[in-house]
Amino acid sequence: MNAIKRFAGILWLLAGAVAGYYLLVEQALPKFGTGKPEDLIPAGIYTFILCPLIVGSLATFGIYALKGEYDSES
Amino acid sequence: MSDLATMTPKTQKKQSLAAIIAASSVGTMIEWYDFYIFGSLATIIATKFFPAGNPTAAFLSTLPTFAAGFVVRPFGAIFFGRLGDLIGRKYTFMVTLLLMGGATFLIGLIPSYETIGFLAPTLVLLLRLLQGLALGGEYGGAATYVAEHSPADKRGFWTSWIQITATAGLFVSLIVIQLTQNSMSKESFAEWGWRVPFLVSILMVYVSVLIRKNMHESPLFAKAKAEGKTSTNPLKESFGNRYNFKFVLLALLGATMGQGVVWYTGQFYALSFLQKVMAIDLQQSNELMTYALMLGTPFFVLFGWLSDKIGRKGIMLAGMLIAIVSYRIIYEKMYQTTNVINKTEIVEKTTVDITRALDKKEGIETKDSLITITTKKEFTDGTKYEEKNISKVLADASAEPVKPEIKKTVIINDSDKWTLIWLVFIQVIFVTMVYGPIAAFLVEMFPTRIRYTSMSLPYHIGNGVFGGLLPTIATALVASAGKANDAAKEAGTALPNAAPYLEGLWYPIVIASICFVIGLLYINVKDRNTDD
Repeated sequence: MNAIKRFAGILWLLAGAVAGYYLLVEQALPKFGTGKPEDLIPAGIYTFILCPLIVGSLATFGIYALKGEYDSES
Repeated sequence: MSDLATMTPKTQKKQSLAAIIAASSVGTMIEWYDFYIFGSLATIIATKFFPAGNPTAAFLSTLPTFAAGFVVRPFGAIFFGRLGDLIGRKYTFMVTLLLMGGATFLIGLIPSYETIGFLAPTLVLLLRLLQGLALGGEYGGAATYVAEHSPADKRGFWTSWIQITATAGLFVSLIVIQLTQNSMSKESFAEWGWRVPFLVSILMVYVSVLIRKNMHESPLFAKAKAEGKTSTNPLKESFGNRYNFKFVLLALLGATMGQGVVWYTGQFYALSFLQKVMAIDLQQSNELMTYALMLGTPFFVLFGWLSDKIGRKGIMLAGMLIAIVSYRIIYEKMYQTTNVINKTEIVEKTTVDITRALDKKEGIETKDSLITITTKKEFTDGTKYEEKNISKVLADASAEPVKPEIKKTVIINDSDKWTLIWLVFIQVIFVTMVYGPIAAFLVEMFPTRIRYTSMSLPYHIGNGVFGGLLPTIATALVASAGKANDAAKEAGTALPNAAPYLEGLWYPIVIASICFVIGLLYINVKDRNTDD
């Protein structure tokens, strides 16, 4: 079980990277491009709130999992 | 002999615990009430403080929703969580109550944009931020306070009463608004009556403060304080300490993130889907939502109680898993229930009415014309359908033509109404499964000395950020799927999305799936950090 937990750490790191790409490249950048106020707010939220939060938490969690911080004591 | 004299110590303890739950729950419910009336009256607030056609005001109008719901709540959690771990739970959630009540009352007093100009929307924004800050501090305090009074084997049951307050607050806000509307003309309500629900809040807060004033500090915190075991720096211990921080992350990614999206899907996105995607009459959709929520509410307590018997993790993860696999089936069924394509039209009852009038801008007639084509249809099962196609004919022939606006309204029959109540009720059950035990689950993850701080942040990020953004992201996903289909139609290629109206569900499905896997793999029921 601990081996699965550690291996899954790689998945959380990858998930963080994919989420970051999706939020910034697919969502935020096109919205910043329009210049409309109704687009700027969600673009700002994606860039400055959601992206750091999701990428940061998934990456940190992934690193912790890889290092065995969540291993069960047998 | 008086009743009091015949009471056994056990009965007295039970009664005082019930009083503690009642006092805590009423205050938390009032905070939710204050938070929701702003949302429920958003349309009127927009006309009073954020005039149409002014881009700066339009920009400001979106900020209260986003800022208070998503950005400020976690800050409130950190600020008041720290305070609660330093000076005590009782005083802290008294402050959050007063802050919320004061801000709500003051919103009801702000003069309109016409009277004081841009100061009006600026004040609304500031007070809304204070509301978000207060809400961020309240929940963790109430949950911690109740949990620290409860016996360990009944924490799930007693804290589940706190979990009801969010739904109860929504109910009370709708009732107060409805009563105010019924007591005056539409014009009076639009003119000044909308302020009443905000002003009434101060009375509710006053009563709640009186009740809370007589409550004692949480016994676990009082004991820790007496023994000198409280934290001197809760923020550092919660988030700077690697051992504790890994549990904060686990609480967020393995529990509150998925719980937040399941809650917002069942309680808020379902209503938005009924009104915006299925075009069901506003009154009917509000009514069926109310029925579903009322029927589902007791299940918060049921699942809270059950979590004491069989564990919290299993119930919450089961709620997430059933939601993940059934959302698309439920929403497809909802959509098809009222889809008029599936119904038999009574052709002789179809009417088409065409009117033409001069367009008005800010009450003044322009040279442009508005042509409104109203089509009304009736169906053999009693369903009624109305479509208004409003097109603008511009006086300036060289100007770029404006896209026609189409408004659809479906008035459903009783049978469809009960089918929809049932389908929303099922989603509310998922909500109660994930939300009923969450307070006890979070409380048990962290020790008394840093509990308020540590549990508040993952709760408000999970619910405020991941849950709160659900309507915006889901609506954007539906819109982009619709656009992709339109583009494919124009190009004469196959449609990329067979059911574009279901695309918004990918957001809660993906988030809840990640949360489910993390929760299943990493949450260990032995990882309890309670010191009681």
